[in-house]
Amino acid sequence: MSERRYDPTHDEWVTFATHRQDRTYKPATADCPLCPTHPGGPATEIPRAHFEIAVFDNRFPSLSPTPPTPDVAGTDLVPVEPAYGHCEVVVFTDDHEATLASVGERRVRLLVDAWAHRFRALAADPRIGYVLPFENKGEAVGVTLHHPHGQIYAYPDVPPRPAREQRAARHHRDRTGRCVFCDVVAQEQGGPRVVVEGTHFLAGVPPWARFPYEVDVWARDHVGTMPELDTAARDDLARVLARVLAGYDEYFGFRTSYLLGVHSAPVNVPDDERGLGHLHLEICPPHRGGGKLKYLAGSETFGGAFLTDVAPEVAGPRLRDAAERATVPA
Amino acid sequence: MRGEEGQPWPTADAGRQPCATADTGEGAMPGLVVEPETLPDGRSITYFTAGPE
Repeated sequence: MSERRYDPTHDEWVTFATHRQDRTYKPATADCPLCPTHPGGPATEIPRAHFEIAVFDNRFPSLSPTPPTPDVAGTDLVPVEPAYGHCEVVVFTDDHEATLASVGERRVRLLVDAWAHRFRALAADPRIGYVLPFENKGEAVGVTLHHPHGQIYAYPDVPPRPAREQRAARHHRDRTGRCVFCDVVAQEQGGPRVVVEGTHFLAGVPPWARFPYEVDVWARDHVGTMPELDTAARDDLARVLARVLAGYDEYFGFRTSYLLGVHSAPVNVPDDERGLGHLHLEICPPHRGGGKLKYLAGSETFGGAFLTDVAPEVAGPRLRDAAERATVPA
Repeated sequence: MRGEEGQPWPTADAGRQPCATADTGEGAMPGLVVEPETLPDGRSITYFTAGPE
């Protein structure tokens, strides 16, 4: 089964991809499907013996450009539609033991270009409404393949959280005439919650952090998508992101698990709607210190109301100090 | 949606194939190499390689 069903009680779509139950689950290193294919060795997803970054169509996609007919018929109340879209896998390195925090600033810079390239290619499909690059890292967030990689989902509409951002941005603009993210950057720069200050990007624990050590990376200028960044801005994003990730490992003292998502302007929408989008990354580790994890419990799951255990004014300086101490490979 | 110069962005098979002509934009690192290929089962793969430092 691969289909989308509309939830009229929450005004959102849910995707069913039951074939993903059979996807590769925590294979042994020797059986890693994301490692390069070595001469004489078993074939993996990537035919080359060496590569820097490889991006390919997910073998077990939740969304597909050729989705099957839904298993059930929809109703006026609960429409059902094919799960149209694109799902790509982004492999950051051919080194199975590396992490995005360890591959170095230059590889992160290459990743920024790869994200930009794939964003533009996926946005070229007029049936796509939103492109979301993300990384799920570490067993603490349920990763099933340990080889360092991320994913890109291209949805047929704007998913709930980015859609909520768009509504908030419109409300703020109607009220003030300004971009809400530009105002956040103006407020946060130089403040106690800043983790890394770049020339084109600012990383900080947001005042409203949902996770104890959440870090958002905001574009300083009002830019909507990765392809719009010039060379200097991409260089700076790579520098800031590499230092934030190295800082996490320095602070926690181990390879930090996290969820990382890139929020951009929606695509294939009117210019007015697109203009509300402001490029930023959200990085959410589940760790809250002392070996404890932050779980999405009752309030978060049923109330949509996050409870955070560490004040952003405390987390910010901790992560900033760690980021300054951290060694970031070139 | 249209590209920066007002031209339609290239599509191939409704965007399923990598768009070899869709570059990464003006900000790409000098010497970047982008190589779209097709896997034996028909899926697309694109390799990104940084240019010389």
